[in-house]
Amino acid sequence: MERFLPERAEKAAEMVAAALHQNLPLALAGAGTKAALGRPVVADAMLSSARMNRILLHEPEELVLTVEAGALLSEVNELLAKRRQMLAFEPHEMAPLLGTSGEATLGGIVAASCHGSRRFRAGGVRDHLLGFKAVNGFGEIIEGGGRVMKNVSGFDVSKLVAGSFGTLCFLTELTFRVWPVAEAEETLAISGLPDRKALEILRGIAGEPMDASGLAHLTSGASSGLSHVPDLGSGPLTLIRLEGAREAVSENAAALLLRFKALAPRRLGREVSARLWGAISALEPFAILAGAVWRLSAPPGAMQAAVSAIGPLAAIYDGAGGFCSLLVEEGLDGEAELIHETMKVHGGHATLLRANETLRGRINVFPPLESPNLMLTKRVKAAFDPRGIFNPGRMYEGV
Amino acid sequence: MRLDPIDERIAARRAEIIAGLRAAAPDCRVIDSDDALSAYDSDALSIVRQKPLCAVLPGDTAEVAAVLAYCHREGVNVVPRGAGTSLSGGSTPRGDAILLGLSRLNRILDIDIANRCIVTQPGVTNLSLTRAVEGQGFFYAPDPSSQSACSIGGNVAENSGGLHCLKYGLTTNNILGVECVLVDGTVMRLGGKHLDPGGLDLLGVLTGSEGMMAIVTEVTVRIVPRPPVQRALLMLFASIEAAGQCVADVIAGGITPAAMELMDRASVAAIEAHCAPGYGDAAAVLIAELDGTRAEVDAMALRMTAIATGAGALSVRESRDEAERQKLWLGRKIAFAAIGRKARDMICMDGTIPRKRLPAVLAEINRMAAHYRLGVANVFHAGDGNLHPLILFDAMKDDELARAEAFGADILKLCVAEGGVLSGEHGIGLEKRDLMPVMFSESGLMQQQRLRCAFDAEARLNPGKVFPELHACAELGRVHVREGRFRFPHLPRM
Ligand SMILES: Cc1cc2nc3c(=O)[nH]c(=O)nc-3n(C[C@H](O)[C@H](O)[C@H](O)COP(=O)(O)OP(=O)(O)OC[C@H]3O[C@@H](n4cnc5c(N)ncnc54)[C@H](O)[C@@H]3O)c2cc1C
Repeated sequence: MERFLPERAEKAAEMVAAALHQNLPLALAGAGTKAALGRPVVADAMLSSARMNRILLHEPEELVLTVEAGALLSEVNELLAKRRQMLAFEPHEMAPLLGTSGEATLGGIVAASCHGSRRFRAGGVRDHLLGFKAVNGFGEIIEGGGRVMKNVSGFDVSKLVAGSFGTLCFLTELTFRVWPVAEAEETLAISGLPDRKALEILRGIAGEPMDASGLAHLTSGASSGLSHVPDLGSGPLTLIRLEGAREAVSENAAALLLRFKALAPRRLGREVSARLWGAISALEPFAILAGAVWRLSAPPGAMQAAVSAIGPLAAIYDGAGGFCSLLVEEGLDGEAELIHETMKVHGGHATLLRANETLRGRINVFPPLESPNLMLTKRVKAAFDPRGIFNPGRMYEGV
Repeated sequence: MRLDPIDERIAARRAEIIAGLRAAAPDCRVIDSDDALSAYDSDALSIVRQKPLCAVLPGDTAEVAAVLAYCHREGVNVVPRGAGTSLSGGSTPRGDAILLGLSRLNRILDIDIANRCIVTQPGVTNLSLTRAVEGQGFFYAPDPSSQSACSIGGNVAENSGGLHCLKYGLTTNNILGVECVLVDGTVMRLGGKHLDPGGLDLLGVLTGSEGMMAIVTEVTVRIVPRPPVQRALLMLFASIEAAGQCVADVIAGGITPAAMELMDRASVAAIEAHCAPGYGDAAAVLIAELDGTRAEVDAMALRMTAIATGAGALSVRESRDEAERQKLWLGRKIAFAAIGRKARDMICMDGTIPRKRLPAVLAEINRMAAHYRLGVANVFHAGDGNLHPLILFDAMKDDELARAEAFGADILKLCVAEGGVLSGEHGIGLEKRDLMPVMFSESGLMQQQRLRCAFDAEARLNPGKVFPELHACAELGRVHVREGRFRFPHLPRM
């Protein structure tokens, strides 16, 4: 496939106009690390933001960052870290999991709504994207949102763009709110808890006013993939991350140690903790294992039952059970229907994160929609891309 | 600020429409007497008034759907209304539209502590949600100052904020799902009791759509554990600049207070005269709220005091008990009312700016006040740069209303020029509609309208709000294929 790499939004708009004129479907991409996510797209040309990669503005005292869509996550992280700031939704590289190559761009991260373990507490991409610029399927340069945190001027189009997988517009510029890195961080690890018990504990903590910013549980099949992180032990692994003011973190950690004394919890310091949660957000344990990977979202109280009904090879519960990533055997079409159906029954939904292209072309990658929702989704798609030239069929047939 | 001329053809069919509605939804309350409709002739933007065709008060989702289906079939406009506290004219009625009141949908349906959420009908007040779960140690975080009156449905439509959204976010960050009815009567659900709705984030874009995309008939909100300790810090400064610097330093220093509010001298004087919270006399008064565990609050209070002192605070005082904390906040909470007593009329502006522009913008606002010969008092949600200049005037006097409106528009243009936005929490509505081109490009505005077309192709829901010009959806949807300089080489035209 031929790749076109505009360096400015105006150029991208011209390319989209040409595609409209020539009736060409376009695959939209950043660096292409998530090309294997979603339904396969058939297109003759690719429009990539890889060459629009400048960091345009970082005002640490305003907690705001503006980048071109092709800016690399690694570069942005490095810049923010120098000022002890971060993108709080924990974006991460997905290439290792998906078996692709290259480094993630912020545009791709927004389009795929790629967030990590802090999501349940701090919000996801949608909550941190303040504004954007893009080229729509009319070939026009559009903008949405702004650069301040509190903004209700006009429709909140940024929300829609986050997680739209390039089906609505070609992102060119993004503005995020950034957060200060917490003064202190510590993780408590407990080994050997059965899933149900572990999730009960995590849900309990989520309902308490201590700033737990990571509440995860890995089944043994998943925790074995973390053997490179020291001090984790073996078997199922339950993790509680505390972040905040130094005094608060040590007080809360001490209280939890006392409360769970019988379960022999271990304290992991900042460095190990950071590595560990990075690995969990990126689903590293699944990167080295074969199989299809699903991401589930459900009411926290219903997740464990849903997962045990599915019976995966391994599971990584996150966000106190509000999220769960599953490893299942690949190649079983029926499995997909079972997963979607099970999640619906339990009041949640599932998205296929990793599978071979044939499978992704055959089954529902995204949660099946009720008919009015699907019709509305198609009308929304048409409002941005009436000729359907952007990533045709990436999310749903016709979307 | 004015209403568009109404569609006389619809207004002329009033009797027929009222009868039609009664037939379509027999159990629905339809109010048509001229007297009773006086209670429904405006929202909190009371300088614009017009009686609706009639007011329709459904009692459940099915009735909402029946009413909408009827209006869709018959080409009748619909203005949704929660509690009518919109300050931007979001629920200002029109003579060619029915007013669809959601106040009878006022039950909390499910309190689900295990999943940390509440399922509620839209007419329930914001404060009732917190009341329903505070016994179990939780609260619903977004807390607009109007929280004892405004409805959660209205909050969703306006994406409302409140004092505590600095730490806890706006409505959009605190809801999980809705049931809503589209303009043709189709009932649908977006989201549920889980995070991330799945597929395109239609819930995200419906939130803050000012009643123009769908009628919200049920909302699932997240609830948050109530922090065991809350403490207020009162800081006095000799200048707005110094207070602004303190705010910037606090934020940059990695402290996120639950709230951080700034008042200028004019506001403080009015408040002291009203309820004497004992702020003292200073050019700028900053109140911050810290919440969390005791260790956390102690630690943050220490750091914040140091920062404030470094920024030149004249004094820093911590609330010693709950009564003192309440007293300090009371002054801020009654600020609008206290300032409002100083003039016959008042409009409350609502722009947001980058925090560090605060001193410069305030100086410019005071300069404008002199130019327009009107009083102004300033209260800010300083932590997130959301300004609420209160313009004081007397609509009965010569051209004061016109001057006040021009002054308000200038303030908002200034906010945008400084890198900010037209509205931080009150919405665009009727009030700021004509200023939208100041902030958005023509194509950006068209894109928003196309999005609206996806929900409501005939623009029947809340017509005349948010967008300065009405474009037909068919025209908006047309692709103008132009032959540019660029061509994809090697690739054949399909
Ligand atoms: C004294 C005072 C203080 C205020 N303080 C704040 C504040 O601190 N922060 C803040 O954000 N706002 C504040 N407001 C503004 C106002 O209270 C909010 O905008 C509130 O969310 C409006 O709720 P409501 O139920 O009164 O809605 P209404 O005014 O009735 O309607 C508001 C908008 O929502 C639409 N709507 C209402 N219900 C529905 C529904 N069920 N489905 C679809 N659309 C619907 C209406 O069409 C309209 O566009 C304040 C207002 C006053 C008068």
